[in-house]
Amino acid sequence: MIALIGSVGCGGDIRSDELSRSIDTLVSSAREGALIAQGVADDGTKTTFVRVRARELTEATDHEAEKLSDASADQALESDKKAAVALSSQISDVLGQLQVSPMDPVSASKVAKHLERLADKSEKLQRDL
Amino acid sequence: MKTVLKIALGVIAAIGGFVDIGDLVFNAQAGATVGYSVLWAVPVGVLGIIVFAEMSGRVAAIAKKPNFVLVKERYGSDLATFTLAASLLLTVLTLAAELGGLGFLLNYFFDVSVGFFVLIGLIAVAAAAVFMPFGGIERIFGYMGLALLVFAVASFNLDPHWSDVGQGFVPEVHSSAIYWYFVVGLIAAALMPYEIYFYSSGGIEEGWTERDMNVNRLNAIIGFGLGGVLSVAILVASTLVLRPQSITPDSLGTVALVAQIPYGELGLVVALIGMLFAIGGATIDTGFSAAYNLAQHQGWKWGKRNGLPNEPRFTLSLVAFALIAFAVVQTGIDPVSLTEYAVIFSMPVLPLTYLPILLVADDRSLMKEHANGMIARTLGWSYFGIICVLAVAAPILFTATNGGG
Repeated sequence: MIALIGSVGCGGDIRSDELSRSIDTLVSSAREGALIAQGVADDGTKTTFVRVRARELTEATDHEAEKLSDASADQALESDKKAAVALSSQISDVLGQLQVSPMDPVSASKVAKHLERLADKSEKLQRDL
Repeated sequence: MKTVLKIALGVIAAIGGFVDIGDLVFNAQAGATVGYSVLWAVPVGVLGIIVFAEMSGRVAAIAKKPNFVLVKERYGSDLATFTLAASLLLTVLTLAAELGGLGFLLNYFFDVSVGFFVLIGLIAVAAAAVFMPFGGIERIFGYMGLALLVFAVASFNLDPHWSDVGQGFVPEVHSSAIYWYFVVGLIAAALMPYEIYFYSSGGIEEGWTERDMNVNRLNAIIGFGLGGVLSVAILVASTLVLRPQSITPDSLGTVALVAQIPYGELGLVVALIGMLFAIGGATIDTGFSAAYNLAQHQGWKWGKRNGLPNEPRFTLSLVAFALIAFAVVQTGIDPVSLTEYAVIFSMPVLPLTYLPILLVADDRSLMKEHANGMIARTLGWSYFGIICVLAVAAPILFTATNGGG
């Protein structure tokens, strides 16, 4: 069991499918952040939930960025990897705005749109891998 | 009239108490990842838990033997000890996952820290376990867990294509490993062994006799059956809300968000409350299950019925398992990942857990006219075969799909 657990998510040179999985996480975080932000914009959510969940998503996105930064990639994947790191930083920053202002519907509406755009960009990057 | 009330109360408690962190995680992830196509696995798992719960309750009522007494009697010393060690490991991992889940859910309400609320959650469930009678625990956590019905209402409100939902109940031939990973995960989440440890020992705690056969049967069939409806609802609602957005639920917060989409803040809060009580009840069940298993294997006096202070070794083991689980959560391990490990790796232990129940329930010299009939025997051995296959497949699929990722 320990061996199996250890075999999941080990490092090394990043492969295309691993990069794709990391981008999956970015897309998921951005889209969930957008849903939460839309809830704030519509006055249809709970403030503590927004703040805590935005923080969790920021941490997950930062963790993904760290993993990608630490991983080495061959030349063909290097620029895609860097683009994914840049996208994760942007997603993290925007989620941070939601965490800081979980009661501001105007700001939340902008955050939702921004996160949607970043999710779309991440999906395009994934398709082009 | 009293029996009808007892059955009704038990059934309602079972509905709310069926769903735990494993069901929440696997049903939401399955819906978000592969959609309706794996719906058929839910009734397969639910029928399995009905078959074995009913059988273990019958054995408890007639032979007065809980699960680990049967394990010790039917297996040699080495195999019984191995079964105990494996079941304790998985039950304590599950307990840690449930406790972690409580911490996360409480933090969504109050935003202090997950670690702090894991401690508060532990104190709250410990207080409930010590000061409340079993019936009261089951009812409070079961009834409040019924708030999860918000997912069923949301499923209707989100207006799915019912023909697609219906199609999901028809098994398909698939070559995708991720599809089979979720099939196995959904069946495993329904068949978590602690549910049987608790059900079997609980029957003895509540003094079930031959006269309680109907209560046992109806609790198992209707309670677990309708609990399965909640699982289906979570899967359907997640398919409708999360899948089109490519959102993978890696947190209980994401699961709760599903109910926010149709009903706003009210939906979110009701879902969080339902999850809190469902997981709170499962925390008590898993804690007691670990202590039951150890005490029954060691031949100690066990149970809550005579008062915890009167059974010091059982009580100490209950405290020790709770503290070990608390320590595991405090390492910062993600309870959702822990749940996935606990659910998948419970499969290899299931055959060892269920075989003694099946053997004793088949034993006419012990069970007399309450021994398995044709239907129970056929279902029991068929499920035992399925469980043996899944016991081998589960770890392979876990590795092949990178843990469902």
